[in-house]
Amino acid sequence: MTYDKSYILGIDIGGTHVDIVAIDTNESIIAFHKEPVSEHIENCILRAIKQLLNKGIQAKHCKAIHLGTTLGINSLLELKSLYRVGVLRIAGHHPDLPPAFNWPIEKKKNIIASFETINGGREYNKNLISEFNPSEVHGAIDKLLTQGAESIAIIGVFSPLYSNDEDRVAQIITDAGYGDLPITLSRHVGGLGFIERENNTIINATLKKVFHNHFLDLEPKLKKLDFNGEVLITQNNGTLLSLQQALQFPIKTISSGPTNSLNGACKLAKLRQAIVIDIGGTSTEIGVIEDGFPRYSSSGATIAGIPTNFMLPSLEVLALGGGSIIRRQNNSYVIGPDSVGSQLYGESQSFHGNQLTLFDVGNVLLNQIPENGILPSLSKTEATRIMKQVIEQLQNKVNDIFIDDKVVILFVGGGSQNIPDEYLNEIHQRPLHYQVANAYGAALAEVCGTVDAIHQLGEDRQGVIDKLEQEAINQALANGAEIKSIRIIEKRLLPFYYMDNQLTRVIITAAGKKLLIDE
Amino acid sequence: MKTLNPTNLMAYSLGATLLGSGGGGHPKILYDLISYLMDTHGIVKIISISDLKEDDLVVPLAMVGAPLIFSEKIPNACMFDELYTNIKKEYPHKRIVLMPAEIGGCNALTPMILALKYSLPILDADLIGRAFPKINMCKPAVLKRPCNPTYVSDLMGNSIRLDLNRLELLELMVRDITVRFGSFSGIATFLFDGKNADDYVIEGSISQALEYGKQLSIPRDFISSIQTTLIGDGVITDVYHEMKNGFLLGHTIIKNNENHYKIYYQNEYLKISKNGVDVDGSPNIIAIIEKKTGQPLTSEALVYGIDVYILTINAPPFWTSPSSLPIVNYKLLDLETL
Repeated sequence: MTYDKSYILGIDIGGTHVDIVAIDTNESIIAFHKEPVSEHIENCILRAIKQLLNKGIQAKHCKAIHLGTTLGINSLLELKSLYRVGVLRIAGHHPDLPPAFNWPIEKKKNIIASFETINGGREYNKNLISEFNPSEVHGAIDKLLTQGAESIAIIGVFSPLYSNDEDRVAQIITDAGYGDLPITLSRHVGGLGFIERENNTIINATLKKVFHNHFLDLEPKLKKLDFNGEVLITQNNGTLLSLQQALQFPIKTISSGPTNSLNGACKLAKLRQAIVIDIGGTSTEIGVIEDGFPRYSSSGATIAGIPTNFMLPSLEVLALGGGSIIRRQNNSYVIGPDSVGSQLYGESQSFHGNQLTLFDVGNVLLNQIPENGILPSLSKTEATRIMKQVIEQLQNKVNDIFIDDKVVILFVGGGSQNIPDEYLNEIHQRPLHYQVANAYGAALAEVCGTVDAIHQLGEDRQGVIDKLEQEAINQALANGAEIKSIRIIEKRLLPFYYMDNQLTRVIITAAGKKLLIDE
Repeated sequence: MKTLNPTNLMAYSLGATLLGSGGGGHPKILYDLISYLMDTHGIVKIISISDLKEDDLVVPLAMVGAPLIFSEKIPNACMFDELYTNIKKEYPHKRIVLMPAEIGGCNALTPMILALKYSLPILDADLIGRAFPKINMCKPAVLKRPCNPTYVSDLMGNSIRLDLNRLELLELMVRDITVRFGSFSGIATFLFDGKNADDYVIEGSISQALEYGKQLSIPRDFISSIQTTLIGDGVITDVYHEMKNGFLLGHTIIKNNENHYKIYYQNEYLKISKNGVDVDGSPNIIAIIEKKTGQPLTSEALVYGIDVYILTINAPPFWTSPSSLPIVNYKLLDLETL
């Protein structure tokens, strides 16, 4: 069967599988596939797409490809494919506290090459803290490079309000001909709060490598398969970023995985309020959807143990997934925290391996023999006890974050299929296509429009803000959002201290569903 | 021996944030610097009023300025060095004991910088018992004790000594100097001898902060505990503030399906109204607590969209006495509201 209507591809690149779905103008799934992950992500994506083409999807009707990925967070967790970062502070008062002070020690050792502080930086009122001196920039960069820096993070005091110093440093580096030395300016990746912004900047600088490795050649290869739709990456707030932007600002995508799975799960179940338990191969993430949108945590979000000031979905993470290794200890079981991960097809007992995993336990209970596999020798009684323990661990975590016990709990993600029906109670649901909730969420990612400008709010504060909101909405419309679904998802006001007429940097983002119409 | 150490520093910071009533800046501003100093210098010894000798010199310390500025132009371990050298010169034979001038917010941690660098003890007390926006809102000011000499220093190694014959000048002078220093300064004021402690201190503030901090690790238990009054809960739907005369002035709106709350602040949260009617305020301590984490949110950290509890805690008894209440009662305060 072939489809000849417009569709969007949603792709979730996870640790064990690349999931892909195609959705039509009604947001219905017309085809999906799960492809095991191998070394080269680009090839996995292309293989997954070819599988859909085999199912009758036609490349020419594809309007857009939305990629959701945990590549960024995984490379931070595993410390793989990262640039070593040289940190350049523009801070005339020379703070004692070194960068990355409160990071987990392994992360600091692997990511930070060295740091330098130069004169300059601004007071709240734009006065220089100390005189900026261009020759210090050269000296500092040379030192950082000698220490092994491959990517530079530049942080100036008060740069979200006064970009002058960071821009000058960037210009000096560009003019000095350091080749393609990647640089990240802090004002592009964070608001006020020096340490958190510095952390954002360093994370962004280090992540450029993994994005560069995996996505630089993707677009041309897709073109060869006749895909001419836009290639977009989902970002933390559930909206889309161009591939080009994502290569510059990978940190903006770092939490898009959970956002997609939360959104996808709720849309699959057609609910506006739910707790979502997404069981993957190595971990489980539990989040909350309220009034149709993920619940966010305050500014204190951490990424791989590193404090940042990003607004991220509020999540509980358990090291428990389909591939989690299960060990007997005295009279009970220890589940995880380690997982066979992408080696599920070699190391789990169902595939003649030595490790007992949650996947094997599920197979025993469901009496299910995977293709090219066997039924593990574990007894039903033991399997039952393990599964009960798994459900209890999940339920305890849910009880920790949510008081109302009547809210529906949605089980999604590939790992969810290991749980037999009889272990779930009346408020547990597994919506149709739960295995690909994440990719579905990516397909549904929204279009946004952002206004980031400096204005005098003055007497007519609300009037000015209303006008800027309208501008953001108009931009979202221009970017292809459907009018009736547009709303404001971010509103940040950074006042310039002691300036007249409430001079303020205003950042407003409007987002809405992507308009998809059949030709 | 009571100490502040790497194990209880977090609880202490949380408790101090709570006592800050939204003001005083979030202790995380200093938390990392203190942890960094603890790596090299060890722990801080806390002594109680009964350990104080008659001629010990107690030096209350604070950072002054806008918390938003501390978080951007991060503090330096040398910011009190000049000031400390000057005090040592002035009082060469006295044992120096440090004290937070203000227990609420980041200033609970301020004296730890000097305490760690020079192995000085800290007194389990402060001048206020919470945080307030003005220097005259402290016990010795209410009791008309002298504030001389006062020292003000900055991050670039400058230090100024003030000798003022009118207490009212203190606030004005310190504020002006602080603005010149980039809206960020360190101050030592209301220095006193051990024998006069009664006129200066709210006793046990550090222990109180530690105690609240421990309880806050289980937010649901904390909000239903007897020291607290739950005013309501909801989602932050608007945050409006501006800097005016050195204060972060503003309000936030918190809504749920039935009620809408407005909390006014001038650095500190000073008044709560529910559906347009004032329900509580200063001198009681107001806390906005993130539901998920149990973190008290400071006024500069309020963000659109966070799910929170609003609660109040009774004021330290000193502030409810007939002589001090009029100075800090929200019903009488000339709140510059926005």
